[in-house]
Amino acid sequence: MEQITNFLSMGNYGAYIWTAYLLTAAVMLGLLVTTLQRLRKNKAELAEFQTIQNSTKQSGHKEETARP
Amino acid sequence: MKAFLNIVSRDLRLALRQKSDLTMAVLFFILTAMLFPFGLGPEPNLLARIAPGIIWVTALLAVLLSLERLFLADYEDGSLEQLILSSTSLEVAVLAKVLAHWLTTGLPLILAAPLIALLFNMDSDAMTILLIAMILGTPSLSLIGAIAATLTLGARRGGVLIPLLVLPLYIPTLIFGVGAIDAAMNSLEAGAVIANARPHLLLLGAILLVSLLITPLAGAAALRQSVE
Amino acid sequence: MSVFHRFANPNRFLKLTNQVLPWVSGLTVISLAVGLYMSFFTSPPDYQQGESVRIMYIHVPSAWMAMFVYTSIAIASVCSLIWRHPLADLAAKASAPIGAGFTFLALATGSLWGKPMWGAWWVWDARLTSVLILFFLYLGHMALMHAFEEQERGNKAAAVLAIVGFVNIPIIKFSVDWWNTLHQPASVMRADGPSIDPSMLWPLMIMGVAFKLFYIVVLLIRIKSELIEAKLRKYRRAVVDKAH
Repeated sequence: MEQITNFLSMGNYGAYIWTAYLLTAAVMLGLLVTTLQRLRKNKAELAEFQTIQNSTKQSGHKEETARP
Repeated sequence: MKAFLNIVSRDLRLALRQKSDLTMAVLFFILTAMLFPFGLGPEPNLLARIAPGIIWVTALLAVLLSLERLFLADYEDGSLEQLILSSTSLEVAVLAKVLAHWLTTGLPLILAAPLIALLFNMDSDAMTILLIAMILGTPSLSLIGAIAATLTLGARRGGVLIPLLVLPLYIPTLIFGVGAIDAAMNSLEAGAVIANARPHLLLLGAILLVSLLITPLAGAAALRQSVE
Repeated sequence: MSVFHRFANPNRFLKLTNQVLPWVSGLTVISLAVGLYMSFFTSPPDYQQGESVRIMYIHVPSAWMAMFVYTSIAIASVCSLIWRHPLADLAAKASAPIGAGFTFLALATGSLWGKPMWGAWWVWDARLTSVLILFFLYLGHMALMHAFEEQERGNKAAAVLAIVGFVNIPIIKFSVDWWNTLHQPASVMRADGPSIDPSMLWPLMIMGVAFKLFYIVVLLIRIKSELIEAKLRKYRRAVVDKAH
């Protein structure tokens, strides 16, 4: 127990050290998470467009074959 | 060279016709500087000590205010496109525009600076250095500002963007401009004034040379993109 | 065809990215874990600064990244303006927020280190001021990039700004040598070899590598995202055209 509190207090610099590390973790995780979220959103939208395109292509195809 | 002078004289004539633009920067400079004695109290020693910083910061903001119109009118009325299509080298044209801008904003600021220096109780040695520093520094402000003015042509919120782009790049000029005068004011012997201010003045000169080199290239590149 | 142009094809780039990404991600996690372990458990407290020296293991790599990412943006900008390399603009655009993040971290962790050591959160010395300028350059770069109706014009304008702003990088690097300031002089990147003890140098280097790998991971994902966005723009335009 004492070992843990000793480690956390970091020779009385604990507040500065842990804030610095937590801030770094927050910024790096934030960058990673927003990047991944955007990728997922873009992928989803692209898939949507592609299914629309495929369906219109198929229906357009049918129309053409139905015409003559 | 002839094209260079043509552009300079054209811009000067335009500026003289619209006197409000010409006087606005100087008026802004004097009025803002005059606010500080009210804000800080009229204690003469304090005012003399902070005068260099106030003069430089307000001069910098005055130049900043005038930057948006540096290329905007030409961009909007299509004369910029004509310029690009003409045989004039764009690098030369950018330098000419910057010279005209300096003559209509930087030079009036230099002429108005001794007045503010007097109001702030600056001594004559410091005032001499102030003038030399401004002669070396204000052309850099016009040059660096021109880059931002060309880059933001056609941008949404261009007027808000210019300060963000320009102010960080102005900081070195501000540091050495103020540093030169501070060094002059802190020198105890009369003969040491120039010697003390010299390194700062040399660095201001170096900034001027670097911006003289970079601005025509960057400005011309930005102008070409703006009409593409 | 040069290596340079081999990656100009987006599909080839995507394929390569998908192959490389798991490996780089794994390496990032491993090096971060090892680096963190070493910086907390195997490295000694400094004889002058005590435990507070542990902030160095994130502060210095963040500052390296701040300059490294800006240099990458400047190089990408040159490629974009001269050779019109299609991926260069995307790389510059994707890098800017990462660089801004690391510059912020360098400033913030430096502040948290400076308070117990110098007694002040901030001092106006040459190194700190020039890094602050770098932070504003990143912000200006991002703002300029998004300020135009056509993305292409924003890319080119931001590229010019990035190249002009590059003059700041040598100023940051040498500011501690040119001016005698509060900030300590370089102790790792020196011509005569590092002056720092190996027990501190190792965790520092490993953290430095980990941060670089992290940059590569996020950069690749962001470029991937940008490429998809370019496709999306095409689709959206097609929809608008059809509607008219």
